[in-house]
Amino acid sequence: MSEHPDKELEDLLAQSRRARDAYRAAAADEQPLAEIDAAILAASRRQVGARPYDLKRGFVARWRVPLSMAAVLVLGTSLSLLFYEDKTHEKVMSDLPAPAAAPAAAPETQEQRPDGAGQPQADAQNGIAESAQAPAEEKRSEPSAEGSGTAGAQPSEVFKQQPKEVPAKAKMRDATAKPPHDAGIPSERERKSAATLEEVVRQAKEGQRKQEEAERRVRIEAESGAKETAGPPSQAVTPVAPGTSSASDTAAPSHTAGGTPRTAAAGASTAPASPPPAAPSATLPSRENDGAASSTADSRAGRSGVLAQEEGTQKPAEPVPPAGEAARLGRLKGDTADETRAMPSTAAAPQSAAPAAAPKAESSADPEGTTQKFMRKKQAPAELSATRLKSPDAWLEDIKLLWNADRKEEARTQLREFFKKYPDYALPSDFPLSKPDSTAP
Amino acid sequence: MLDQTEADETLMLRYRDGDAGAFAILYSRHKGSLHRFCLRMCNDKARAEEVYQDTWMNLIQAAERYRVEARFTTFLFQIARNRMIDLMRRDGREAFSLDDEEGQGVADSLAASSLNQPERMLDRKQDAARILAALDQLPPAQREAFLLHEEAELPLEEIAALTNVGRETVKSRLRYALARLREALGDSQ
Repeated sequence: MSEHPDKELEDLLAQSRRARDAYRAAAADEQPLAEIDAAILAASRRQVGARPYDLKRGFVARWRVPLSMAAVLVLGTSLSLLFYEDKTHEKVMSDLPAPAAAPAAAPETQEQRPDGAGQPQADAQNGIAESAQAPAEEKRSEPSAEGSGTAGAQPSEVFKQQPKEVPAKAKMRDATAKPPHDAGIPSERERKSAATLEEVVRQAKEGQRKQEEAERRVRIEAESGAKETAGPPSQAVTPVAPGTSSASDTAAPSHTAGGTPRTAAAGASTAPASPPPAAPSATLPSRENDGAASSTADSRAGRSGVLAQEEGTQKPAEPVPPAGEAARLGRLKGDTADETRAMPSTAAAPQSAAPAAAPKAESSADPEGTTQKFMRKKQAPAELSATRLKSPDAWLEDIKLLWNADRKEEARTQLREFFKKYPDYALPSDFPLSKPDSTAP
Repeated sequence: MLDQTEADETLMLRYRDGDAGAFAILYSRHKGSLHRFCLRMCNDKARAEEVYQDTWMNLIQAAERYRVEARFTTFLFQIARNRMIDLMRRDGREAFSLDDEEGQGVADSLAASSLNQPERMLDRKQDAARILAALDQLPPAQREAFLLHEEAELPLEEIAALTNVGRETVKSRLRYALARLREALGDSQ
């Protein structure tokens, strides 16, 4: 039934062809207005977001993405720089408290040094401890050689005076330009703290000198007292030198706060013939050997030995072969001609060299004690030659002690040598001896 | 880039996806037929252009929801028809009378009147005016069926679906419309 109507329709359409053609011919020219076409097409483009006819909006659309990217870049860069500056500033601020605590730690470190404390921790925190450990960097230190104690105080003072508004970039630049022990310390701040540093050094030297003089007096009086008694000389010395040999190994290197590390390092390198443990403590330091490079271990050993010398009989004496001791004594004797080379800061070493060597002689294999007697005989001149490295007042004080100890001939000899070095020096009024010209008391 | 022979539905899908050029092709294809449909159905040029423009605008706005469920022409002329009904209701005029009896009556009256036309109006140039006049005299349902068949080239099933009537009804309307037009042309053998 469905095919028949379709055929009907087809027949109908075929019969109506003329009418349909007439309609198409009549309606062919009927078209919508051009304005309507443009409006509809524009609306269709607006709907999908394409607006080629809107030049203003096209400009914005064309530059929207580049402008957005540029804005993001500018903002991102600005924020990154801002965060970087803040971070650097925080780092500088966080670095400041450690140096600020250094002055408080510096006296504590000095107090620990006689007890055998190791490296100054405050220096190590500031990155300047290398100067106290590495001999190569010690060589770079100033000629006055305040020592590790003062060197440890130096950065502390510097950091204490360091302004907080120092630019981070300037600090980084200084850190990269300076050697490691001076890293982060601008030269301007060093100059600012120079007065404070000098004062600290002067106080340290003064304290050291007083301590050495007191020890020297005690030692000489003890020796003179021992000489009067019938006991052997070594027994007069040994009470103040208990055999705690291990204590010297842990001695602080910077006890004397002035040039001690350098002296120790030099001593370690100037006694090649001596046995390794005793050689540093048995040699007299010389300035020419200060710059000799040595390992950190040697430097520590040298400092330990020097500390034993400085602490005199309180520190243990390590066994030294007689040959090395004799060589040392000979060198001590020859040092009288090298007085001008010696530094005042290194005078403490020979003072305690003889007392430290006495137990060594006792512990040596010499049954008859010939070396001991020799040492004992040369002990006082060795000490006095060491005292001549000191100031004239200290020297005269030593001569006075010799005189009072009834060692008058030695006192006269020392006085003659004194006036050889200081011919125009005026003796104090209470001095028991007069000038060597009269040679009479 | 754009294939001119591409199906209307494909072009509409491309336009839905943002291709404005696809819509331009669609528009160029169907603007004449839709415009004529609007003109013949409204019998008023201004109203016809209003319907025509609203139809395309509605198509543009409905593009996002477009899915291929029928011919594109069916979709397009459906929009136009609905817009036409809305305008007639707004103006207080009665919508398309799809009454077959009424259509039959109109057709009968047209057929009777066309039989009285003089034979000298049968030349081709005059045929256009007479056919258009006869088309204007057709009942709206028959006219709509004829226009949808001639302009939109819709089959009877599509016209039936679009006008919500049966296929036979559409066929009957079309048959009556063609008969009246033939009579207007003096071609009623």
